[in-house]
Amino acid sequence: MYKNARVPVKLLDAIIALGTLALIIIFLTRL
Amino acid sequence: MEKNFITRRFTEYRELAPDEKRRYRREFLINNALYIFLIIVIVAIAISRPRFLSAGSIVNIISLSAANLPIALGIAGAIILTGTDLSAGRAVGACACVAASLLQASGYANKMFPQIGTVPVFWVILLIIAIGAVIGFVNGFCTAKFNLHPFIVTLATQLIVYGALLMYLTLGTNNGQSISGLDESYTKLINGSILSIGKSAIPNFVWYSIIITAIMWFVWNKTTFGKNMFAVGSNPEAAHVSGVNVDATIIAVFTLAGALYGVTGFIEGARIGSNSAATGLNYELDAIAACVIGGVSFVGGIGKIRGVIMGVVLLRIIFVALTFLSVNQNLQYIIKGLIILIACAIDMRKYLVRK
Repeated sequence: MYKNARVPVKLLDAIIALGTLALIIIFLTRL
Repeated sequence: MEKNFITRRFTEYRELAPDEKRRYRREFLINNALYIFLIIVIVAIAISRPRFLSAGSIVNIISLSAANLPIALGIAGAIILTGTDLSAGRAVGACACVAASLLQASGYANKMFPQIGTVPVFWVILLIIAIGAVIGFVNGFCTAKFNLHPFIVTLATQLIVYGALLMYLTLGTNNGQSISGLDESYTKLINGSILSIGKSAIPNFVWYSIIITAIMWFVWNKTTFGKNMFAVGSNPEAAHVSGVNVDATIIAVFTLAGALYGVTGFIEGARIGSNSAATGLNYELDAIAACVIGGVSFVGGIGKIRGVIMGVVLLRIIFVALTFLSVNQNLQYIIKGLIILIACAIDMRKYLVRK
């Protein structure tokens, strides 16, 4: 599945960054 | 050694050009996004709810992690072979119910099999591990010999095991009810305690979990079987050419995983105390999530025991934190999904960098 995959790395980075940010915001707003 | 490593990394970082430094920082932040999130969560909750870091809460996190560790270690083996195991949760549930049914107290009014008394714990442990191993063997055999994807094989065994469990629960005098009233020899063996932190007792199953983890570390890192498992996971053709018996390795990995589900089932049976067909439901999903978070890659052939431990503990800290903050159950599912998505994205990213 992963072999020869052409992955848009910047989009992947954006998902990681935005996802983590979303998690942090969710947690902090529930404190 | 660790200090030298950190100092070396720091010296390397200082020698970088400014734009390289920026890239390095970005890489570091993205690759460790989940750990950074975890640290922020722990610090924030520790400040707003100091009870989160109390001895009782820490023991709770450790016990819940220990209960789920064996199943995660089993699934990690399947993931290293680029597979997965969806039958794990139901296998745990079935093993827990069988263990509980055989180890009900003799005088208990709703005893499932009143005619057989209480079976010695040792024989039940062996039986439960054997049941788990048979389920794992079927998974491994179908995957290896018929070249089927473990996803679909384990989906089938999950349903078969669940159906068999529902039928089992109607046996004797039980009539489909949950199984409780367990014998003291069983509950004390699992939930008893020989050590306490403050007023919080550490249950015995934590020690069993540690022993199992140590055995699995040895199996993964120091045995030919362990090396074969990683070889088959990263490239089955190359492993075959090098003389590795690929089929036997796949079968053995799944059978070992099944035995670990048996152990988890035995622990869960006493830990929960009242077992029904719902016992073990979705355990496999948490275990798969823990493995992915801990860096066991779906690419195959990559994973470490310490990663699995980290994944299980990290996930558990987050779940406990969510409970502490009384986060709505619906939102908990979204958070869980986001964590898995981020973990997969980080895994993919690391794979691309290696490539």
